[in-house]
Amino acid sequence: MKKIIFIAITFIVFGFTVTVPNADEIIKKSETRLKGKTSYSEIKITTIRPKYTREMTVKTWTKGTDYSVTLILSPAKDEGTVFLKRKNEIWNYIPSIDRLVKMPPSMLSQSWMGTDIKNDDLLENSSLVDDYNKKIVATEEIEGYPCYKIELTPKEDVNSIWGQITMWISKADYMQMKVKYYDEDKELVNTFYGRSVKLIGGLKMPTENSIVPANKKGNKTKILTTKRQINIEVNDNIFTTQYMKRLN
Amino acid sequence: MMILKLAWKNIWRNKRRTFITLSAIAFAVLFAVMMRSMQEGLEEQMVKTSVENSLGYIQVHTKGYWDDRLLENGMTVSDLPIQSIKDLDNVTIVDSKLETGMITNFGTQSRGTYVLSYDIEKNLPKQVSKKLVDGKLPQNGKKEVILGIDLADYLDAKIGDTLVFLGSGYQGATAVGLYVISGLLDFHIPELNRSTTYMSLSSLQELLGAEDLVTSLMIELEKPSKLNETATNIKSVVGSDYEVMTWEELTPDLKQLIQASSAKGYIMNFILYMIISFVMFGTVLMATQERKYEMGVLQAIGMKKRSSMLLVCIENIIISIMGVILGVVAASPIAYYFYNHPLELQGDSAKAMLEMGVDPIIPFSINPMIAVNHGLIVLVISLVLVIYPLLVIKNLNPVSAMKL
Amino acid sequence: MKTIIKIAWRNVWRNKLRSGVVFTSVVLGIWAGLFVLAISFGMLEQQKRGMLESQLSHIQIHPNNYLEDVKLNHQFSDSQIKQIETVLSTNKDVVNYSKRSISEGTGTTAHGFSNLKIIGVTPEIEKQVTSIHNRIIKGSYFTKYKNRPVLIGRQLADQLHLEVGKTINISFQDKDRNFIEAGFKVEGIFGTPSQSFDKSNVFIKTEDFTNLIASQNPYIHEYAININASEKSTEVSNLITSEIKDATAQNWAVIAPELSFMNETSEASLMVILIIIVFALTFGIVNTMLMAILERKRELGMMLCVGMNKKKVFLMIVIETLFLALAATPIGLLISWGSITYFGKIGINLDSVGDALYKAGYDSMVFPEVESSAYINITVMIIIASLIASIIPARKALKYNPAEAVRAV
Repeated sequence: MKKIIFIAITFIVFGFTVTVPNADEIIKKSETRLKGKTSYSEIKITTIRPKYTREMTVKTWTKGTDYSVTLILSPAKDEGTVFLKRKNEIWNYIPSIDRLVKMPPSMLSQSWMGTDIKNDDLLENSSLVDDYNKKIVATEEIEGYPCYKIELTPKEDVNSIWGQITMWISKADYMQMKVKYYDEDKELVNTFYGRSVKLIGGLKMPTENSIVPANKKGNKTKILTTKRQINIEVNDNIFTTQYMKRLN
Repeated sequence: MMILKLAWKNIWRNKRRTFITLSAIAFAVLFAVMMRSMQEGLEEQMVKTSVENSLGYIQVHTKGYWDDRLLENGMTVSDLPIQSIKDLDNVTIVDSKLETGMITNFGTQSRGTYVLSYDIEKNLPKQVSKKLVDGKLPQNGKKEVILGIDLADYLDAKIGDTLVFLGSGYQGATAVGLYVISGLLDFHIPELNRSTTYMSLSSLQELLGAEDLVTSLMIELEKPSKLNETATNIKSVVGSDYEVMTWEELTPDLKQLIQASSAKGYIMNFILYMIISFVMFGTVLMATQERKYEMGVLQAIGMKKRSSMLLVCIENIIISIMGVILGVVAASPIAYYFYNHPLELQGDSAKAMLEMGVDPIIPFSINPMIAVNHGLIVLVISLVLVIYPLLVIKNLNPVSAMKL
Repeated sequence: MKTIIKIAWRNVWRNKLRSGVVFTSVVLGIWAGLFVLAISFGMLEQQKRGMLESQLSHIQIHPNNYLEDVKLNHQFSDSQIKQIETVLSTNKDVVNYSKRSISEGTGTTAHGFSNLKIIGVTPEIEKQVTSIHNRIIKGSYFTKYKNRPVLIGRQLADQLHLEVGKTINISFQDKDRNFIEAGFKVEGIFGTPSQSFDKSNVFIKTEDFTNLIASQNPYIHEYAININASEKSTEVSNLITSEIKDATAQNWAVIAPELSFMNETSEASLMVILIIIVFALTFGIVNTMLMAILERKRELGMMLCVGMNKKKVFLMIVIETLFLALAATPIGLLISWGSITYFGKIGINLDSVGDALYKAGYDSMVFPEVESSAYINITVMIIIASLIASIIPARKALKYNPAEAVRAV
């Protein structure tokens, strides 16, 4: 009798730990599934402000978390502009003056191209996986998908522009459905909404996303993913400063 | 009535004595007014230098711009009632100003910089041209900039080199352009030398993609002392969509520095007043001594003590008022002269001030309130001092007084 | 001559009131002149001392290539460091010194950026040499945070909306010109007399600086040295320069010429004030003596009738004034010295504007002080003024018609 109870308890405990993944794993899965080893995406970004609206289309290639290059296709004024991230440097190629500029880190907390996306987010300077302490605090439903609500706080020595991030990640497929970004005073700065889950390039992901800044009425950035592929063949050369001019 | 006549006659009876007393009062007023004029002149000079350097006495921006200096909080020039502001009393110049933070890059060096602009066609801030230590100002129509020397140093760039300027333009569009360094600026203030770039207003408007854009109106005044009054007038002209701020609100730091200097001035003034009061007292003392005999006689022939006291009082009042008026009248042309021809410093001190970008002059203030205030103070002192002769009369023994 | 002096002496005592007035005028004049000078000089010295203590120190040493071109990799070599520290420890005039790592950089928060001078210090040593630790308005001096603390100036805190406990991202370039960026926690906010300094200088720990540039050993760009007598600073700095290689020691006047100029600019307005005071004083004496002459008309007329010649009368009046001035001088000097020393110790409290001064980095107390030469200068000035002042009434007296004067009442 005792033996049976012992085995039962062991199974239950074991099963329990197996079925409930920990916060670190959830985040890791969520981050890596969309990136793979390499990735390619085409995105339309719409910046909405009380007085105007701006539309941009871009192509982005990434390799791991250290390399990414973004080419701007439209509007015409910015066509051919390239942003390159190599480890912790950002380079910017500007075709109108045929110049290559290295971005100083002081610009990290500034917005990228006038959108609500920060340069730091583009650079992914801080890795959610490595640099944050994570904790599951609840489960909630977002857009019909049951999600884990996870709180991330930067570790002691980490240099992040955020004081805290709260993420809602779907239990199935580990999709980032909602994210709230807080500054170091724990004031809400931005909220990311993932909408319109579709199958793209074999991946199930929210395709019509938006970033809404808190405290700024009428401001919003919409991110529409029209194409995405992961683990494709990518020439390492495109992640160099020399190639930026030729990127197309 | 009789006493008034008597008092008047007494005053003119002994011209010498009257004159000496009068001059004591007049000089007291003169010295006090001179000292205060100089101090206030110096303070006005301090304000003038700092304010004309960058801020202007009054600024007009879109409401909320000063706290959140984003380009989207800028203003359209054609919307602004510039002519109406210019037409206001006391306003001399209304300057359009556009500024924003950008990145400047040269080769592998990039640094954040504040890009400021001025209207080439009009009066550019005089302080900018004064700070030019090398090269020339940007020419109209050319894409040129002038830089703080430390900024140029950090970028390893010199006159003739081409810099990239990169940043957010109007409505979020990217602003990017190439500009040639035409000159270098030395503000003698490290923070400005490290961060400042100047270009012409039209260049910056073009760079940011908005021809009509300005971030503030800088207003120069003829009479800085009428600051708040003029600000109120401007407020009613521009309306509630805009904020109108005086330099005191723009840099409270400067106001504090001036208060510190003021405090020192008041101490000096206080010490001067001690001397002045004593001088006046000395004069009154001697005058009273001189008249002891006369008072003794008057009392002996039957004039009541009270009448003598009243007599002396009235004489004193008349002389005091005359003295103060004389002092003010004498002080005014002197103050006015030094207002138009400020004291010029020589030698090392002059050199020092020039290096700091300050004119080596000490102008005098012609604020009429100075004359009024100090005239009144001296008048009061003079009236208070009458107590001494009154006491003397009260305790007078006519017999001993008439014995010389 | 002797007779005149005797008569003059007696005259002085005869009319105590009049003599008293002249006497007191001179005393007041001396005191006023010296006290005004003392306050002015005191404030200036305080400011100068404040700057010396908080930023400059008496002498600084830099590598020569750093002086030519400020770059991170123009630091002292190990042999230079050894040599300098040997020289400094054997020099008997050196009281203490500290060394610093310096770089140009940028500080950013969500509210903007500011281009800065980043100074890496060793807190325990730096504390002994400069006084920033005494000028912390909010927070503490490198005692609280273990992880990359930074001290910033008041103006910078205002500009970037920073407070104790908040983070500022500081970036600069390492030796290979790569950008390094790290978040620093604001541990303290300081205020010095120089707003410009407060706006663009920040202090971090040398060890954090060294870690960021990924170096084994600290990069040292500057030595700050205090000596026992500030007047010797030029002499000592020249001596040190001659004993070290490829580096130069400079005194504060060379490094911050605007400081020594501050003296001069203040002097000009002070001169005008002193002139006004001397004029007021002279006038006072003239007036009093004139009035006295008027009062003594009969007496003077009598003297002239009795046969005293005009020259002697003139001399007599001048000597009377001289006596009074000379007698007043030591008293005036004593009172001046007393009040200056007393207020010099306890300070004058400028409470009404104290707040403004404190925020500007000054103390709200003014401590008057003067150089010893001032006592002599002012005294000489006053005595000459008194003498000149006596001439006018003396001349007046000469114009009296003896017959008429004798009948005056």
